[in-house]
Amino acid sequence: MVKKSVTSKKSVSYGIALLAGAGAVLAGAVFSVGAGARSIFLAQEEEIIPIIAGGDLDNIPALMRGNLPVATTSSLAGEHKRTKPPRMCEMPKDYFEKIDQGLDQASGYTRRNEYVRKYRPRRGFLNEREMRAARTAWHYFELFTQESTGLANSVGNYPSTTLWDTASYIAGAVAAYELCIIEKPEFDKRITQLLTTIKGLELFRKELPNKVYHTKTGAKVDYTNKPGEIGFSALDIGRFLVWLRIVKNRYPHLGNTVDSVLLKWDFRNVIDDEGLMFGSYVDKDSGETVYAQEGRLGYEEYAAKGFALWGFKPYLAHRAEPFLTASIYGVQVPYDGRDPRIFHSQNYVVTESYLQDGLELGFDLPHDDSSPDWLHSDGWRAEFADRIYQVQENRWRRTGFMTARSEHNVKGPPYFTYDTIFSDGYPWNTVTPRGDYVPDHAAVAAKAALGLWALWDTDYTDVLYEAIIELYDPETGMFEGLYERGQGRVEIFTANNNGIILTSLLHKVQGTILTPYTGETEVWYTAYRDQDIRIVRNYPDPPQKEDWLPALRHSEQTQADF
Amino acid sequence: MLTFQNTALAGLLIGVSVTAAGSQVQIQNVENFASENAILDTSILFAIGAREARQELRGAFGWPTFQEGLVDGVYFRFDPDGYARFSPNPRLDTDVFEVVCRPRTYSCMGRKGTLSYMLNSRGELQIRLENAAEGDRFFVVEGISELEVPARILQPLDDRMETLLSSSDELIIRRGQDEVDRVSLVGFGAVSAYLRWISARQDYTVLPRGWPIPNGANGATDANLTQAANWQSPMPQPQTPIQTVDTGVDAEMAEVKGELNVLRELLLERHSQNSVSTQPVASPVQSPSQEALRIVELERNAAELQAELERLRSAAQPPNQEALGHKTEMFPAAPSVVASATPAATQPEQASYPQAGTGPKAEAGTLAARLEYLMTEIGLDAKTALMIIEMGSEAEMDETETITPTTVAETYQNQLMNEILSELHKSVGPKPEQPTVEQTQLEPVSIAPTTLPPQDYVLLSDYFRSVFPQAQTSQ
Repeated sequence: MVKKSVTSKKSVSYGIALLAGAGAVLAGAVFSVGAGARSIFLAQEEEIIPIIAGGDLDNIPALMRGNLPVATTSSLAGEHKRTKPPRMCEMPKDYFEKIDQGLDQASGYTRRNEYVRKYRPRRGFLNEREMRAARTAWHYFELFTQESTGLANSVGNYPSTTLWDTASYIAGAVAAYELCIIEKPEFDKRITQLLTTIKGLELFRKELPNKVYHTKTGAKVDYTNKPGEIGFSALDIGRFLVWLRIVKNRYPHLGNTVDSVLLKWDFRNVIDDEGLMFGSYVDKDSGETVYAQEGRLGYEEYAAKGFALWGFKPYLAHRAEPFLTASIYGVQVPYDGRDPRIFHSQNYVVTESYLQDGLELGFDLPHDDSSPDWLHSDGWRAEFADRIYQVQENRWRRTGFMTARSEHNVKGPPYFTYDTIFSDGYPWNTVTPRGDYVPDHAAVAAKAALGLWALWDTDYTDVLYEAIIELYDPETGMFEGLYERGQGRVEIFTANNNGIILTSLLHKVQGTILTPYTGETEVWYTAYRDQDIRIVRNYPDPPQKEDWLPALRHSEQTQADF
Repeated sequence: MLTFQNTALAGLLIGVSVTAAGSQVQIQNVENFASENAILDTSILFAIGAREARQELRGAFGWPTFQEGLVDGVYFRFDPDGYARFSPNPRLDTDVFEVVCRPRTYSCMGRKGTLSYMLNSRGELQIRLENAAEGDRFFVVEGISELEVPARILQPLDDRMETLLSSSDELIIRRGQDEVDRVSLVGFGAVSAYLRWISARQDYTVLPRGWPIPNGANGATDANLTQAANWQSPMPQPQTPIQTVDTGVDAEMAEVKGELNVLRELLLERHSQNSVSTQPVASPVQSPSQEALRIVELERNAAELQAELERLRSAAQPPNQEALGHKTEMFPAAPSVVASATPAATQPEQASYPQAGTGPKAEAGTLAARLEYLMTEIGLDAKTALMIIEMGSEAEMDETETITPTTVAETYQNQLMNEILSELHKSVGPKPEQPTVEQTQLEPVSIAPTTLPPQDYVLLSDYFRSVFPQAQTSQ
């Protein structure tokens, strides 16, 4: 019996039964695990997450998008916003003892592509000489502002101006107010009249302001100041936008006036989908508007940041590429890589655009409202600016020529020169707008010299300061510069020169001129939400983090290259 | 430093660019920039290959366009206000001739280093050398060879002197054995042409022979752009005095200038005649004219013969005037040939003088009228006016001689005519196989030879064979 029972467990039927039982157990286990998992996941999906109006999950319609707060580094990272410094006459005497200059910070890029420069800016109260220069520079605007329109002449008493030079006038007015040369009533009166006039200007073909306007009448004119239209300049508009943002952020009571100016403009053609900026001109034969890419390395990025400060997305214009470098006195000087023979636009390397970026924007990205002055979130701009400074100092040390090069006006023909560090394949090339080489017009540009002095606290800029700080006519303003070949002063007075000089002096007192926006929403973003005007004119929404211009870096030059 | 007639004007021009210090000066300079300063249309090309380009302006004012190109071995660029640079280097950076114009005028000056020059009121170039002094000697250099030029290069340049300077590389000033100055003349010719072109309101006719003038038809059209009514360019319009000047006054000015040119040419002609008057033989100019005269006579004979031939052929039939006229056009008409042989310079003279009558009385009246015209309108003194009238009479006589065959030639012609006519009369007969005159003349000229019988060819060939050997032997 026992033997029989053992034999039965090894039978075929027993094996089948065992297999079937094991399969059933396995199937039951799989079912139970699957059911359990399904219940877990389904339970998560079915969980109701409340979408808060205006929150991250709220797909806000365009009608309401204007109320979104602008995303900045302070709002997202919880960092403290920079604050607007007090006017110079309101500063405590120990004000500059407390500011952080980052003197213990090593120069170079950070992990987030910010850059710490090798040099620090000058900071402190203005001394008597500097105040005299500031008052004289402001005197230019007192002399040459037209009562009828509030516009200031670009050059002396020649009654025409551009948006670039009008921005210089605004810079002068802001500096004069902050340096306590003028008081608020006069400042408000000037800015209000100016912006009201600009709001009423006849635009170029109902798009954007014409390149040039007559300052007495406010009529749009051509380059010879005759009634007509030329086109618009994206670079000029970009600089103007920088200063409108500065005014709006510093003086909220002028915000609505500022917004109302921009809300008359049509931005549909000035920036394309790739983020490239376009200017326009009139075709001579057909009379049609021609849109052409505008801006080269230096100016292009500065103007692009002006647009970005108002929510536009000039991604491509803000990039350095395509760029090349030319080795001059051991410095790899960056210049625009677009071939002038193909693009018919010169690649001038001058100091001015780097200075304006440094003085006005602190070499920071538009969304950065919290980093200290010594840390530049638009890192490569600061690093390139260091090279622009260094090559000029090196030239002075190797040749003895004081060098602070920029574009500047000259008296008589050709009226204007690009006094460049590099252009057309040549270093220290001084050329006219039509391309003639005019070395006799090479000069130490006053605005460049004092700009370098403000941003680079070095022995060399002390020399520049001595050359320029008394270069004025007390009855008119600061001279344009000092001829390099000993022909004396560049005896011409311009809004741009005097405006940048005032900006440089203001930077010494207050640091980066652009201050954070302190309000919540802006009319610029909320207006016309119930119409299609915003879409037609390409008005942007408040920029969010994904809209920020990227912080990039390029290879850094750490040692001299010979 | 030498002073010249136009020193004041040149000084004024220099004063435009070299000014005293002070804000007032700056203001003045800026004010000088105005659309009224535009005297040139940069879309009218100065030479083949030039182009108009846009300026890259960052400031609030300036010229929106300019023109650049390469001509006569130098690169150039100029603005609407006439400001120009000429250089053998495309950067226009070395060896530069600069041209500056007095604002709102066509008075311009070329300058390079110590050399400056401009057009005087007579359209002649007048150069000025800052370092030149009395007694200096001047040399032009081409390659390694030097040629001394007279000090009259400091006076208005004649064509030969201008050509010499244009074709030279450098101008050297020597004081004794010392070289005082050396000025490059590269671009001198191009700048001279440019100055004349400006002065003539961008008229191509004043440019030198052989100048690479852009397409003639377009150029003529473009030249009209300087007229206010036709101006279409969006660039600053030249505020040319010519646009506001009364056309009547303009015509008078042109007339006076034409008179002056005629007088100048007459004086030059007389000067050249004086220089060769001691030679016993006729002047070299006369010899070709005699040959031309012979050719003219022969051609006229041929034309007359052809007319006679046609007359004979159509003797039996009603003449077809239209066809006859068409046929005779195959030969040059005698008057036009004669006119073309007439010196062109004498033509304006005839037109500009008061019209002469006929007969001795009328001739005396004409002389008086001419004399009065020269003295009152041109402002010449009586002696000079009389001299010019005498020269004019001589020129007219020469002209008349050119037009009218001499007696000898007439005799020869008659003789020749008789011979040829007799030969023709022998050859031309009523041959039935020949086409009629009407048939021949109704055919287009271009295809007539294919329809004519070979006898006609033989006839003309024989004619020329018969004429030319005689003509050659008669000389």
